[in-house]
Amino acid sequence: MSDAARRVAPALSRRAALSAALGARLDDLRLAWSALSGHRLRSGLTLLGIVIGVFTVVAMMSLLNGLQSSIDKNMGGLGADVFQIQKTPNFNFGAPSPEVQRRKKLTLSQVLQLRAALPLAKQVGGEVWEGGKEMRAGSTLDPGVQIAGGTPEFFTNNNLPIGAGRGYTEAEAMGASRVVVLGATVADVLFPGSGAVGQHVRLGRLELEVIGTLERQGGSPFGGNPDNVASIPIALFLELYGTGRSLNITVMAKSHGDMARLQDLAIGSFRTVRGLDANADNDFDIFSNDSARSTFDELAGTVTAAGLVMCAFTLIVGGIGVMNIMLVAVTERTREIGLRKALGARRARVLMQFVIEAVLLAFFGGVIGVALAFLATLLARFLQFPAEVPMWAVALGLGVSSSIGLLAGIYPAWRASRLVAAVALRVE
Amino acid sequence: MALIELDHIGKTYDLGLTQVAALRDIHFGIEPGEFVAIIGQSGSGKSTLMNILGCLDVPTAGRYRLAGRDVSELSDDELADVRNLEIGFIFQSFQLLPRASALENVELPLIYRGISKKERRERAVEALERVQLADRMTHKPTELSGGQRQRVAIARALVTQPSLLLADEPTGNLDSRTGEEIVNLFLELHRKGNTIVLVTHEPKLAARCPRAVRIVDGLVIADGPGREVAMANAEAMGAEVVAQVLAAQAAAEAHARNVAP
Repeated sequence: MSDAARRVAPALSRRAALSAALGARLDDLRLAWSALSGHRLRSGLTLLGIVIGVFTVVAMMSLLNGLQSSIDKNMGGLGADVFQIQKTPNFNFGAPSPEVQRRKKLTLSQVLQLRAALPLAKQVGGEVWEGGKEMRAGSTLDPGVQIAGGTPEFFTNNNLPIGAGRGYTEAEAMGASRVVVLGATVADVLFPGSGAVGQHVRLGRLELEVIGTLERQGGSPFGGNPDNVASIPIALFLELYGTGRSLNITVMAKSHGDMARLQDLAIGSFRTVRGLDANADNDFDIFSNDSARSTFDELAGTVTAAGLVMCAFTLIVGGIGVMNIMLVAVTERTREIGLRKALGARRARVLMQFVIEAVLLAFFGGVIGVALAFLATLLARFLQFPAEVPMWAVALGLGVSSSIGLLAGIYPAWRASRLVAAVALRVE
Repeated sequence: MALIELDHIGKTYDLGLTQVAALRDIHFGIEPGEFVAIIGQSGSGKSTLMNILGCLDVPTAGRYRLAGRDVSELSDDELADVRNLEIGFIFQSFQLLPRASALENVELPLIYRGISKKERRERAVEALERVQLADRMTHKPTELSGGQRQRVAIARALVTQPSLLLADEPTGNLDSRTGEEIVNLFLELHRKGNTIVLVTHEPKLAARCPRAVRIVDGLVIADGPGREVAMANAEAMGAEVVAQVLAAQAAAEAHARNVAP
C-alpha cells in the first residue's frame, strides 16, 4: 500500500473538479431516489398538496390559454378590421343598467345615415339576429336555425365567406327579396347529399330561394355554431319578425391602422345620427375583436390572480408537508447520517443529500400535477372545450414545485448536517 | 514513527453544574502494523477514547497525532476528511444501510472520496472478495447472516485502504462461533500488515490480541501483551464477581429468615 497512491489526487484540474462535483450530485440523486422509492406510499401522500396545487394552476392556465387562442379565431365572429356599433355592451355582468335599458334601438335608417356619413370606411352594414327558427325543405325540418337579416356587407363584415352560389345584393336586401344564404350545417340538414343552391326552403309562412351557401366554419368554443345560420335580406327580416329589434351596425376600416381613427369618427357621426347633445353620454356601445380580447384578458387576469392565490396556499401547505416528512426522515435516519459522517461525509454533503431528496420529492409532485393537468386538458377537449397546456405553465409548475422542495428541505437538511456523528451512531 | 501518538490526552464533558472527566492523561502510541485491544468496562472511558482515536471527537487536553498529523483541533469537516482517508470503522451493530446491497454498502466511503462509479465498483468487489463474500455481493443486509453482515462492514472498512482499522465490540452482536470467525479474520488482516485497534469489554477477546491496553476510570492502568493484560483484568473481575455472589447469597439468606414461620 503506497500512501501517495491512496490519497485523493492533490491538484484536480478545474474540469476534473467540475466533473467530480457533477458525479457527486449524481450520487446524491441516486441516494435520494432510493430513499424515496423505499417509502412510496408515504412520499405519495406527502405530495398531495403539491400535486393539487400544480394541477390546479396548470389546468387553469390550459383552459384560459385555450380560450384566449380561440378567441382570436372565433369570438364575436367579426371580420378583420371590423367594429360594431350596438345598443348594449357585449359583456354584461348581471342585468344591464337602467340607463342602458332606456336606450333607443338602432334602426335601419340610422344604418343608412351612418353609411352616408362615413365615406372613409371601407363599408358599413347593418344586421339583426333571431335565434332558433324552424326551417323546412319539403318534409325535412331543421328546428333551430339562427336567422340573420343583413345588408350585403354581412358576409365580409362577419368573416363568413360565400362557399357556393352568391350573397344577396343591395337591391335584394332593401327590397325584401325572398332569398336566403344557408350556413353549412343548415344545408347539410335540409339537403343532405345534394347541392342546396337553387333549391327552396320554407321559413315561417314564406318560401325562399337558396341563392348561396357559406363556407364551413367549424365549431366555436362558446357553444354557438357559426354554421347553423341562415342569412336573409334585412328588409325581409323586418317584414317577418317586425321592426322592434335593435340593429347592429358593422363598420369595416380600410386598414387595421385606420381602426382607431375610424372608431372615433364613427362615434362622432353616430352621435349626430342619434341626435345627442354635446354633453350627453353615448347611447350606444362599440364592440370589436380587440375590445372583446381586452375584456376577456381583463376577466382572465382576474381569474388567474384569484387562482394563483389559491394555488399559492395549496403549495404552501404542500411545502409544509414536504418539510414535515423530511424532518421525520432525518429523525428516522439519524444513525444513517451518523454512519455517513463517520465514513467521511462533510456537512455540506449531508445537507446536499437531504436538500436534493426534498427537491426531487417536490419535483415529482410537480410532474404528477402537470401530468394530471394534461389529462384534464384531454378531457376538456373531448367535451369540446378548447384547452391547451402552455409550455410556460409546465415550466412554471415544475419550477415552483422544485423551489418549494428546496425551501422546505433546507431546514431539515441543515439539522441533519449538524448531527454529531459519534452521538448519531448510538441512537437506537 | 508511530502511527498513533496519544500525548497526555484528556477529555472532560461539561454538564453545566458539574464537569465529568471521561479521559485523564491517556499517553501511549501505536506503531504501524500493530493489533491492539483497548479493554475496559462500560463507563471506563473506552468509548470516549474510541471516538477520539476515530476522529469522531476531539480531546479537551493533550495532543493526538495520527499518521504524523495533529488532529486535536480540526474542524468538523476536516475530521470528516481524516476519517475518510485514514480510518476504517467496524461497529458492534454493523451499521449497514438496509436498502443497499452489500456492494453498495462497501462503496459508500468511496463516494465521499469522490471516486468514479466504475472504480468504486471495482474496489468494492475486490474488498468483498477479501472477506470471502464474492458470492453475496448483490444481497441486502437482511438477506445475510450476522457474521456475513459484519464481514460486509469489514470490507467497507478495508475498501478505502485506511491507515487504521478501528473496531468497536465487533463480536458483540454475534454468537461465539461466528465471533471466532471474525476474530480470525482480524488476525489474518493483522498478518497482512493492517493496523487494528479493537475496543472491547471482553477479556477473552483481548487475550487474542498481541497487545492490550486496559482503561479504568479514564486512565491506562495496564499496557502489555494481550494475554497478560486480560488475565490481570479477569482477576480483578473475578474478585468483583466473588463479592457479588457473596452479597447475593447473604441477601437470599436474610430473605429466607424473614419469610420463615
